[in-house]
Amino acid sequence: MTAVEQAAQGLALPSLRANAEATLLEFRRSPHALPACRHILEHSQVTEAQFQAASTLRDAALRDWTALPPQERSGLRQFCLGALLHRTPPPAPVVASQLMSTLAVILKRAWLDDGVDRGAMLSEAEAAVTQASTAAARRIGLQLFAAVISEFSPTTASAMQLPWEFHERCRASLETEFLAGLFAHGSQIARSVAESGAALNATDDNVCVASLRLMSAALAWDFTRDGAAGGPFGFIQPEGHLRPAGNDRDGEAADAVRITPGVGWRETLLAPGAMDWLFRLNTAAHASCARADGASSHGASGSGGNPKVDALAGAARGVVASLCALSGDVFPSAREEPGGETRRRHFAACVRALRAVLLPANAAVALAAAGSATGEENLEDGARALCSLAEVHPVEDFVTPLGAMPGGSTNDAADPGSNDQNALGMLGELTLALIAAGALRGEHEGGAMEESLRMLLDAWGSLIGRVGQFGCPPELANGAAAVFQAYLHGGLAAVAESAYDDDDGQEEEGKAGAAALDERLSLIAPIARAAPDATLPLLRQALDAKKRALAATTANGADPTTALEELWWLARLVPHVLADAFDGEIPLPPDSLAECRARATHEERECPVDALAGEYVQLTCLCLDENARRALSPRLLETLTWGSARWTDTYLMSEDTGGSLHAAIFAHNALGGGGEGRVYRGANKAKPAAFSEAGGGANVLDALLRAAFVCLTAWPGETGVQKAAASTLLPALTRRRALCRTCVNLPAWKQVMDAESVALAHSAAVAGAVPGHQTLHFPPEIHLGLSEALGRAAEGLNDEAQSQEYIARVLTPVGQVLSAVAAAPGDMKHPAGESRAIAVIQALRGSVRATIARSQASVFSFFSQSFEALLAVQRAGAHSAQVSKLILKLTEELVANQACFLGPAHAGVLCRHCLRVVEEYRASGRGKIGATEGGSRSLRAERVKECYKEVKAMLRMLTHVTNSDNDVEDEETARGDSHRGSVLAAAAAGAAASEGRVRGGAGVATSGEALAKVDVAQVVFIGLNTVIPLITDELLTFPKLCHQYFALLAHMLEAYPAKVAALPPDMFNSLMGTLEFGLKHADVEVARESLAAAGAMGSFQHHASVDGRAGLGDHNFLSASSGQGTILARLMRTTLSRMIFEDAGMDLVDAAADALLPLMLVERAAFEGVAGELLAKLEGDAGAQARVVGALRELTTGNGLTDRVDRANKRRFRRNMSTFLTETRSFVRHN
Amino acid sequence: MSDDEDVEQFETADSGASTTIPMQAGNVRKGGFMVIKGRPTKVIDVTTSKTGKHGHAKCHFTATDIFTGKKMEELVPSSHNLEVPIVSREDYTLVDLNDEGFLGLMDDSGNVREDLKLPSGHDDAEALARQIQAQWDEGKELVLTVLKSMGEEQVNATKEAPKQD
Repeated sequence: MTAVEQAAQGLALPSLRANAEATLLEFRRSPHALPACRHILEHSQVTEAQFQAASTLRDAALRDWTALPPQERSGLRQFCLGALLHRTPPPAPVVASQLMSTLAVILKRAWLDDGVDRGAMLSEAEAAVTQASTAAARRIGLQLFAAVISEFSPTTASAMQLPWEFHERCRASLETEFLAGLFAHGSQIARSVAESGAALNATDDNVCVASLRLMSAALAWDFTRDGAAGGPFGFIQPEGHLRPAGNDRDGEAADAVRITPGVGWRETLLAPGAMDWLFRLNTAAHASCARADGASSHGASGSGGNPKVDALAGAARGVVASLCALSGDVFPSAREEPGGETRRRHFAACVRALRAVLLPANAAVALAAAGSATGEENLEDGARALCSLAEVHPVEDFVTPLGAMPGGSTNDAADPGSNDQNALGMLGELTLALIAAGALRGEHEGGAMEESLRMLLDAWGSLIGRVGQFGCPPELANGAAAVFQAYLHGGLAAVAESAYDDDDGQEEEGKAGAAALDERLSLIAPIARAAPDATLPLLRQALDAKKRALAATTANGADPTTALEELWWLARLVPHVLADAFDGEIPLPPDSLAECRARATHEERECPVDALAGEYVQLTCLCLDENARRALSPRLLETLTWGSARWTDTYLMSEDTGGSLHAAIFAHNALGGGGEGRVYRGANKAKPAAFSEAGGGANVLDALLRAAFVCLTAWPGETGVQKAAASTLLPALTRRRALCRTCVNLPAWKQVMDAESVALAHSAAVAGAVPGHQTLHFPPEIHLGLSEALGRAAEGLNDEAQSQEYIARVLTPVGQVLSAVAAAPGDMKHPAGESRAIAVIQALRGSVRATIARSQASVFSFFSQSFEALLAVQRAGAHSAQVSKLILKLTEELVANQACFLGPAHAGVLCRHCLRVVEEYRASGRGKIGATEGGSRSLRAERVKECYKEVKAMLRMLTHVTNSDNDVEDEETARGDSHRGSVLAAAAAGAAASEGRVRGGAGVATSGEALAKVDVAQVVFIGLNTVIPLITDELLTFPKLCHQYFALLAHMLEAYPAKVAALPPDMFNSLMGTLEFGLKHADVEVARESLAAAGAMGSFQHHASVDGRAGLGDHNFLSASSGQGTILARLMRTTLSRMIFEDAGMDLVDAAADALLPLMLVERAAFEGVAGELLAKLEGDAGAQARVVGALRELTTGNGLTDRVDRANKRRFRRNMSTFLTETRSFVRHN
Repeated sequence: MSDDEDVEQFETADSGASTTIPMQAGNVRKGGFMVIKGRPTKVIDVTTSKTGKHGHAKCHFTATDIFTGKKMEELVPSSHNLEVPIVSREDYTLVDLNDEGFLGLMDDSGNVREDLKLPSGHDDAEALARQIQAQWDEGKELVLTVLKSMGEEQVNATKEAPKQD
């Protein structure tokens, strides 16, 4: 005991720490830990030792549980209870809480024991508490129950070395049998204490707090798993209800947790008046806190008052917040209670409770702003509760005065006039107060005020998101307008204040910072859209005012920073309001804005949406004016470019996206159903919509193109601006056909095209190298973006010849530079030559990415003529990481974009090129990294990373090659080609001949056909054979590479098992070697792919043996000589031993079952061997052996399993497998 | 469109005129080379920042000296020029290694030079030197890669010569 005491105390001293740890670990492992712990707990006076003993007791009990006779098990419980309740002096809080958790674990461990009366275990504790009959004992009893709840909830359960199923059964048992009882127990005690007044006087020894916490714990139970959430008859909106798109709520749902306890709890929670005592207690506790705070706020510290009352208020608030989040079946369904009185009564009660705590809003916010911890928590909890209410309850309830709600009006002296108020009013008051208190200011970032504001805005968003487009109640719209106005002013003030802050965070955090800002702005956007007629003109005025302010400062030579910063913020906000993020879907104007536009058109007045957009585009076009340009900062321009792109995607010439169809529907509705929707251009005589092709869209497009050109050329060295233009704005301007159609005919487009070819030609000349002669120069990725946009614009040319000519015009300058690079391999050693090569490859990548059906043929013919030049560049650039990587990526993208268009002849050409690229790479020796290469460790690590990227690009290239197969086969089927069997490996043969290394892989090529057709599988395998040696252990530590490889392998083995069987032995063996590696891999995804691959091999062999074919033939016996059986048997053994001995989870069971079924059928003898070994391990334990024998029998014959590999059988086997593993794992691993 | 003189003519690394060329800071990438404080370095990280919120972009380079492995940093406005060293690698067959650490290196055309020593100066270089020495002592035929930049040369890698059939 002394040793443990010393060690426990020694832990705190750094000098003794190591020894102390060793002693304690030894203590934990000792076989007599249980009695030793009991001894220490009974006799030691040292808190640390008691703590260690309590936690060791838990571990030891879990470890020795199976060996303990039943009376000792219950003895342990008694002992813990005794130590908690009857010791004098009572254990220190830390020891007590450890003891409680130990007791909870012991209870749970005994929960499913045979013949245990679970209820008795709980009442035994309760009886002990009652017997002790002190307030402290009562409190401990309540805390113990809370610990039990948390132990039984799977997310907070301790590890017990037991299957998941054990935890699951405990959870189910507690939820159905005891949880409500525990809640009622806590509620009853809390109520009696509260009503006696002891709670508020803080004379109850925290019993009330403990009972409230028990209630919270019970409500925090994870009810949803039984599907109780919003059942079909609940009043809750269906899951997919209208959400403002682009407002990613996944991350925010956490604020609005729904608590769905189900019907069983209705009486307890919702019976009229059942929870009134709690609401009263909550109000009273907070009033008492506020008084104390008010009294002490004159002093220095903000947190006066009684901490016990603070804790009480906190606990009560927690329960109220949980009640606010109630939803689902606990409320009567619409059928049971059409008026929803119960729910509405509950809603009103919750709102009144929140009012009591949060109003007057100014006071509540001021308290939080002053930094009082209680104030902050209060505000945050309140905001969260409001957010939950907004998520669960319909909008109508928010706008109904409380007095009109069921439950009637109350004459609450503390809150007079509450009957005329509604919940929305409170939400608005609180939001405005927060904004007024400066919650938007940078100093509050991440703090309680910002967090509360975020949740309140979220509440607004979820209310607004759930009203139909014509159903927005005026109160909600007005409220939203007021909130937005305040937000606008608050936000502008906040950025003006921070304009000179040095540490912006924006650039430092890069994308993360911008994303955080975007997330904040996307919260306010739906609120602005709820009342577009009011909010959009406000935004427009603000834009105009700040633009003038900027002009004024530049005119009189003042510092423009503040004006720039304000404009920048607006430039970020406006696009959020006007358009949703373009996430790959066709963007449409948000409903409320489309409706606003339609209404304006109908009433023939200026449309606020278009007016604001016009203002914004004008601001972007300021850069066209050389004088104004000087006033704009790169950062502002970047944002304006981004915003214009976002707006363009939704509004500019949206005719061909269905955008006008959308608008037509709204126009139709706005006209009362009588109007004729304008669906097609020219279909009616109405004035063309703003920014449509006929309505001035072309002018805007021209202006934006010129702006993009200016961005590219007028800010040399400002890569950010150039990038925004080349990879954000220009792609947006060429995304749709109508835009492209107009683009290609504009002079500004020609300007952009010329700029690209000039810059490319000068890419070797270095800016400033020739004094006084400033050449146009782009960074490489600008070439990529630009040539992609240029290529994509071919979409706008209907005529074949025109399109060809256009593509030629785009590609000729690139081709010239490419041949110049290829012709001078020596130049690549020079940085200038290297940078020219990089620029041209990037430009080529852009053109490849822009492959569209219309221009595909021209692009392909350009590339097929350039293959030699590309290989020359690859050879010359072998020393350069950049060039090598980019060439491989270019080839990969070429295959990815072209493969699906190509016929067999062209596919063959492309495949041959791929093989040559792979060969060239291998020959260059880049893949080999010497142990000391690069000179220093960090440089070598860089080399490994480069290598990884290169190999990954090659694997992806091979993966894409497989895609070109479909078309070949399709065409063959279409032509009824009967020569399927003679599809020959032209490319393979070519490569084999050139390499002289690969033999026997290719069939015999007949002359004409060899060129016409390519055996894709063969190409991939030859490619893989070259790549596999390059994949080193070091490279496999990169998970992406690993996934890529095994996904490809699985695909190949599934799609072409016959080809695999025909591979030469060394190639086959290396494939199988990697497969075995994959089966053992720790990464679940990799293992899953490998299992699929192994399964594919198994089924192939199985089907072959059924049909009497050779299947894998000799390959299967390659390793037989080494005494390890066939390859398939080895795969099976690996899989089985992983599943039985290594994996803990059940994630892979289904995949493993699918793989094992065919393997087992093929290799019966080997399977019996494995089974025999398994039984041999259990030698001496007859019981376990019998169980395992039974389990094995069940695995192979259960559920009517037959010896076929088909869907039904697979399903049966999956079931068998999971039963088998649950059964065996515990036995086999125990020893 | 493309001005041929402009495109194709520039000094090759061997002309001896200059060992560096100027390049705009914004164009120097991760993995590229640049001169910091007179030393040739390989860039391992670039971040851009702005001077003040509405100022011009600056590039912050973190780089490693290609000869000494020392870490260096530099801040340059992205529109300014900086010097990029011309870096070349040559493979030589090791034909002699004397007691003072001088190497006898033969190039492809059979010329032998004896002016280089085993790498030294920092831990990784010493390790490489030991490896070369050990392999040489075992009698292996070695190919050494010599890194050359800004008038400085150092052995940077070793591999065994491919077996001749």
